[in-house]
Amino acid sequence: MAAYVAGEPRAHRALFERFAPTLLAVARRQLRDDAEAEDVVQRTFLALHRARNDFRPDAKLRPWLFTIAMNLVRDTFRKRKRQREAPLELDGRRDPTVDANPVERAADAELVHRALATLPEDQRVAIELHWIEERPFTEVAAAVGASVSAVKVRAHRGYKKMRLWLETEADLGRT
Amino acid sequence: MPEPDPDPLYERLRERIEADRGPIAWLRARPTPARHALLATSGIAVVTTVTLLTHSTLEDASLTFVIGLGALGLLAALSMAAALRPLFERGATPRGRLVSGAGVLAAALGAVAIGGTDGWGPLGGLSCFWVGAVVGLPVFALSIALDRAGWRGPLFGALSAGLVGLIAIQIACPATQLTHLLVAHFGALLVATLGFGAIGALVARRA
Repeated sequence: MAAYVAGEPRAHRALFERFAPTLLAVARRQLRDDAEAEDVVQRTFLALHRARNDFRPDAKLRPWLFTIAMNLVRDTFRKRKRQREAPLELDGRRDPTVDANPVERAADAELVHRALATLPEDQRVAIELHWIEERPFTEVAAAVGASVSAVKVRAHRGYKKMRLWLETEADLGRT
Repeated sequence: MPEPDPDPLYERLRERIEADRGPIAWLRARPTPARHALLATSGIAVVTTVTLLTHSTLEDASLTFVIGLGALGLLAALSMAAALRPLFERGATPRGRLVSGAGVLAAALGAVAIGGTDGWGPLGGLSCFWVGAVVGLPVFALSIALDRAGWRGPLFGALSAGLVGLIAIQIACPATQLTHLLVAHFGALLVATLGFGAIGALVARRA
């Protein structure tokens, strides 16, 4: 990042290649739309470019990028909500996509997706970043702007709800 | 599902970055403390200009009036900080923005009302209403130019402009009747915030 701020042209591409795949996976999982996810990633790096002079050399870049991306994901949800409220609006989004993350390639990926979708946003984000993206709680906390203990509580409550939901689904499947 | 080729994605990003040039892009890229200082300077310039073109009531001001003015200055500073909050900091939720905006307006109402030492009476002139409603325009325009995200700041930019207009007319207008202060002064803040806010929402939607 220091090289990028100093004007080194290759540094930007290196940052993009390092962080874009993870951000794209997170954005896709949240938005379930390839085009919107790619737009979020582009806008995240555009925001990083505009904010490059704010970056402190001792700061970590990943939490910065995650926070920007999560803010833009929320903005996209708000835009969607506005579009749904508009009459006769054509929905040009593509079909939902399945993420290529190894965890989700498991046999019960669809069930896990559905269980995650039942959670409130704050719990879902905490679990996705910590469990699926394997980010430490300190980074998740920085990304969502909450304390580490608050994020742990959210994740704990989310896991509990998911377990209950999955058990109920399994019971329904047996009957 | 195959991963998208990162090259086209990166090329599109480069195009967006290349297009992000010019004086406004330069302003937005300034460090956040510098952007805050620029916006605050524009507010001070507006207040100073209005005071020089009219007159100052500060020489004979009561302590409560000065306290109210200080509170308005603090609210304007907070509002400016919210308008320029960087995207790498988590923003307030829509409900949070609504609650904090309503809190600022309520505090401003209190700060204006404590200057009303003559009780209720005739409304008086409305010239300060018009001045207060429009004089914050440079602050609003600069807040839009300095806002990096293009959609987060307009409402607080509008509130900042309204507060700057309110401070200017509070200093310039000698009236101390509650009726005049609430209708002409606080009314100017409401009209400026709603009017500039509507313009900002349109700008944000097109961004």
